Order: sequence, then structure tokens, then C-alpha cells
Amino acid sequence: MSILISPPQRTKTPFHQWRARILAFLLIAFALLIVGRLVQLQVVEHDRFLKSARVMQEQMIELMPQRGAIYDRSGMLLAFDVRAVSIAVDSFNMTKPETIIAILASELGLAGEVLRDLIYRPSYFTWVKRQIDPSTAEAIQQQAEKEQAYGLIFLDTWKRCYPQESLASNIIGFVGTDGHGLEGVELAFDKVLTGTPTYVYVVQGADDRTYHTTVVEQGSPGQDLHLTIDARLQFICEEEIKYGVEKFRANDGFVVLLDPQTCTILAMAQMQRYNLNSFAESTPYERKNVAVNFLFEPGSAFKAFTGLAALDYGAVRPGDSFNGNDGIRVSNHIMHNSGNESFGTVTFAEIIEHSINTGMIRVAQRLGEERLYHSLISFGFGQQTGIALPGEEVGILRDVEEWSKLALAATSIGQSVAVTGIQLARATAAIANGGLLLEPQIIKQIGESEKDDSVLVHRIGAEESCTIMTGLLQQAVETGTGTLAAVSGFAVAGKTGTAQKATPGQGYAAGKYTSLFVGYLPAQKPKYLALVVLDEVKTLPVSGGYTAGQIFHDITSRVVNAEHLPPVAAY
Amino acid sequence: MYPRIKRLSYLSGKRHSAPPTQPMTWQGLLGIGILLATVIAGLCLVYLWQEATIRDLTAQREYTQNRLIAAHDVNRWLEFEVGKAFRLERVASLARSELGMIEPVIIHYVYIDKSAPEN
Repeated sequence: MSILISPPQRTKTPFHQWRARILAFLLIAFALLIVGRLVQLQVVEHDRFLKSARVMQEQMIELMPQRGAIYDRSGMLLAFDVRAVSIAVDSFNMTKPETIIAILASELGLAGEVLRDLIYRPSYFTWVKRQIDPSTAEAIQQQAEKEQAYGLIFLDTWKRCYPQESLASNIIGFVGTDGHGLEGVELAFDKVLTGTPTYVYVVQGADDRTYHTTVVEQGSPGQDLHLTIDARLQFICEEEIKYGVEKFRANDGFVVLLDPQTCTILAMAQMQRYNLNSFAESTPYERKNVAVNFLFEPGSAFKAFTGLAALDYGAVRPGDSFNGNDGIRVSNHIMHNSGNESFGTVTFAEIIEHSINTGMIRVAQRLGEERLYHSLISFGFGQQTGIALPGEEVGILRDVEEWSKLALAATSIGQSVAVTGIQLARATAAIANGGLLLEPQIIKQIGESEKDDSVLVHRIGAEESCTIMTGLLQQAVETGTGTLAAVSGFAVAGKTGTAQKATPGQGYAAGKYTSLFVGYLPAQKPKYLALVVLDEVKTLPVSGGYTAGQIFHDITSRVVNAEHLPPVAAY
Repeated sequence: MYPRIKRLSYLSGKRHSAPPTQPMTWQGLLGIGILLATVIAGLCLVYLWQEATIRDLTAQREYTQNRLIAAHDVNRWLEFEVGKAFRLERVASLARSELGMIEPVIIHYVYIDKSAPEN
């Protein structure tokens, strides 16, 4: 279709046509003005306005990752993160301080004086309360807005929660206010548990509403940890060790319960515990994991290892006879039996059964320094076990070249050496499982990947030697020093230990003993191994068989019940 | 046999004469311009209105999502409280003090060999 424009008329233009032309001109001029302004705003000054809008509407937010949860072996939740809010105050820009104090006092239950001290502090930023639940924070915010009291700062954060409170506090540890682990597996597996932050681009309107969010950099939450610990067994051990320490008026005590076939830790309980939800109120002493960082002389419990070394090297046989009378002179020093008791001529089996010091020293003399030392190194003493817990001690086992003339005799009966609970439990587990020294496991699963149950370090001796030693240890429980540790329906193999405590630079302290019992059941195919250690028992007798042995009995009786382990022997 | 139908032509054979060209006046042009501008302005208005509606819905969705996250957070807090209420220590304590429960004891079984002669 063609549009033809008529040529301008040469006739005189009427007045109404002029009016229309002026109106059209004005309209076109107005439209051009608007278009011009739009071009100026949208094209010429585009960058400036875009920048201003971005400053006002858009922001990049760093979302802190959620820390991985910690579970026990059966999936019971031991530690997890919840979203929380931390409240701070800007004292210079706040309004209505007394109103703010009243709101905070009613919602947080803090004393007015404490709040006044915080609110009136001359600072742009003072923490009022950290990690409170979001609903309380929202209530405070709403009240403050209603009262037009400004100056409170609300910061989103995470709070670490421990629903079981003090259960396994020595293993789990805790997380500091910066979100990083400070003790236990929280510290040892901090990198695994901590994820990476997510960066989000957010567009907000003038009405504070979010109009658009884009994930710029996707972070990842921390991985979950599944411990090998069984919360029920841990609870049993904690309850019993507490009861035992109070009963025998000991300074301290701990229990290690593990599966000797795989060396997985089922429980690691101690007297000193603290509420993980309020760790700041605990003392450094309470936070120690004594099973890995408390050193003690193992005493007679060490005879099992001296005996195993002698058996394995073929230095003795169970029926070999030795002089078991009290008093043996070693390098101008006379060493005695417990209670200066004399046993006459005894077999090697009876030395283990009745824990005869003089007899064991003679066995060690037959074995020799070099062979005893190398066996003890092979059993893992004097070195870290590799358990994934922080602060593990190495123990004390002097190099054989530095041994004094007395060292062989002393070492053979568990003196002049120092071990940790985990070392002693692991070495005993190696006897129980037929000679395999394994790395103790505390982690069952990291994220989705399940860890292997057992990590073999090396073989410590022939399976036959270990079987013989198990038989001798079983005899020690049935008729020897450990009768109180016996558990009805089960054959128990175990060894008592009572060691005088040494004070640095002053020698052995009178009346201060470490009493212990280490044993496993069922003896021939063990499923549970428990080590009970009591520090400075104040009741009499102090012997490990009487004190720690009873606790061993109480713990293992409950454990086999809880685990529905069918009785296998008629005792 | 079908009857034969005579084909009829629709063409009349007459040629239509073209209408005489009317020159468009500037008033007409202005009218068309205003009409076009009105249509464009209307479409712009509809676009802006829809855009505002979409943004509003997006904002509502974000708000709902935030509420959902907040509800999850409250759930986690409640989970913590429930966990504390059912912690092993408390349950054991209540079982002993309130219900008078005791630790189970080992049940001893005696194997009776039925094939053995009775005395």
C-alpha cells in the first residue's frame, strides 16, 4: 500500500489548523525530550547508575559451610551443627540503650548489670551473646524494631551441639567459636569435618526483599564422621569407671574397650568428663584423653609380654621350673615378690598365674636383654600406636644400649618403662588375636567411604605362642591373681598389674600405686578386650586384681549382656 | 450416467477499475503515529506489569524458601533438645529412679543331656 502525502496547500491556513500544528509540535518535542532523557539515563550514564544500583541492591554473601556431624558406630548422633545467631551491639550508633537492655534481659535471661557493662562499652562492636537459637534472635529483633531501638547487630552463624553432653567427651572434643576443632576427633579431623563456603550473589529491593539469588561458587558441607565407638558401651564403661574410682577412692581412672580381632575401639571412658555444650567451664585436666596421653608403669601386666617373648624365642616352655622364692639379687639390689611371698619351685605357667616377680626375672635373664628389648619394640611399646586422636604419648622404653644392669629385671616385671593405655590394650589385643599387631581404629566411616576394619602393622610372634599365653592368662583369672575379674559363663584371659608410682627425681613414692587389669573374653575366640586402669587407689588392698579386676568384671558382665553374647563356659 | 454439468466461470470478464489515490494528510499521519505510540506504550506497560509480577513472585518464592530454611533450623534445634532429653545418662537415671529398673543379670543355662541314663 502506498502512502501519498499531499503537497502543502498554498491556500491560507485556517486558525484551527495552526493550533493542531502547534499541539503536534509540542507533543513531538515532549516525546523527543523523554526519549532524549531516556537515552541519557540508559545509554550515556548507564555505567554510573548500574554501579550505584549494584551497591544498593546487590551483594555477595559468604555462606559458612555446615560442619559434618559425628555419629557412633550404630548411627547415634553425637555432634552436629544447628544454625544460630550471634548478637553484638554498636554502642556509638545505638538508640534507647535501656530499652535494648530490657529486651535482652527478658529474652536472654542475662542480668541487667552484665548487659549494662556490655551495652555502654565505648565500641562499635561488642559481642552480647553468641550462638543463640534463631527464634530467640527473631523475637529480639522484632521487639527492638517495634520499640525503634537500633544498634543491635545480628550475625548468622553455626552452633555445635552435642546431644549426649558429656558422653565420650574425651574422644569427641569440641569446636571453638571460630568453628574449628580444638580437642578430640573434632581437632584430629577438622579438615574433613569443615567444608568450603558457598558464595551467593543476592539482589535485594528497597523493601529488603530478596529478588534474585545466584550461586557464584558452590561450596561443600563438611563430611560426616562415624566413630567406631558404641555409645551404649561407652556409657556402660563411663558409669562403671566412675563408680569404681569412687569405690576405691582413686585419683583417676580410665577404661579402654576394643575388639581384639580388628583393634577397633568400642569405648574409651574415663573418670574426668565435661559437658561438651559448655566446654568453656571445663578444666584442661578434664579435657585430657588419659587413655592416649597418661603414662604409667604397667607393673605385672608386662609379664605377659616378657613371657610371650620368652615363649616365642623358645627360651621357656610352660612346664619349665624356676625358683619362685622371695628375693633375687640383681646388681647389688634385691628385688622382691609382691608381699614378700615365697612360692618355692614354680613352673613358668605358675609364674604368670600368681604373678611371681622373682620367677619372671629369671625367665627374662634366660631370654636376654637384646631379645626382650626387640620383642617389646615389636609389641609397639615406646612408639605411637597411630590412633587418630591428638596428643598421643610415645611412652618410655629406653634403648637397650642405655640399659643399666638392673634394667632387664625391672623391665621384665613392668618397671622402668612407661606405657599409655592404648599401647597396652593394643599389645594385649595382639596376644588375643593370635599375634597380629594392628593399628587401633577410632574412625569407622568418613563421609560415604567406609574405612577398613583393621590395619596390620606386623606379626609380633607365632600364633602358637600367643595361644599358650592366652591359656596361661586364662589360668591367672581362674585360679591366680585375677579371680575377681572372672565373668560367669565366659572364659576370661587376663593379667593384673600393680605398679608403684615414681615421682620425677625422687624415685618410687610410698603408698602411690597404679592398679590395672587387662583381659579379654571369650578367651579362645575373644570379642571384647578391656583395660581398666586406676590411678592412686586409696583403699586396701591396692592390687590391680582386687580393684581394677572388679571393675573389669562389672564392665564386661554388662557388655556381654548388652551385646547378647551367649555364654560359652559353665563357670 | 451422471448428468453433465456446465462449468461456470467465476470471472465476470469485467476489469475492476483501481480506486482513486487519496493523498494522506498530516493529520492522518499524526493519528497513526499516536495510535502506534499508544500501542507501543501499552505493550510496554504490559511488559513492565508482567515483569513486576514475576519479580514479586520471585521475591515471594525467596521469602518462602527462607521460611522453609528457618523451619528446618528450628527442627534442628528441636532435634538437639530431643537428643538431650533422651541422652543415655538421663534415660538410665530415670529408668532407675522412676521405674526402679535394674541391670539385667546373666541367665545361667544348664545343659541336660537327654540321652544320658537317668539315675
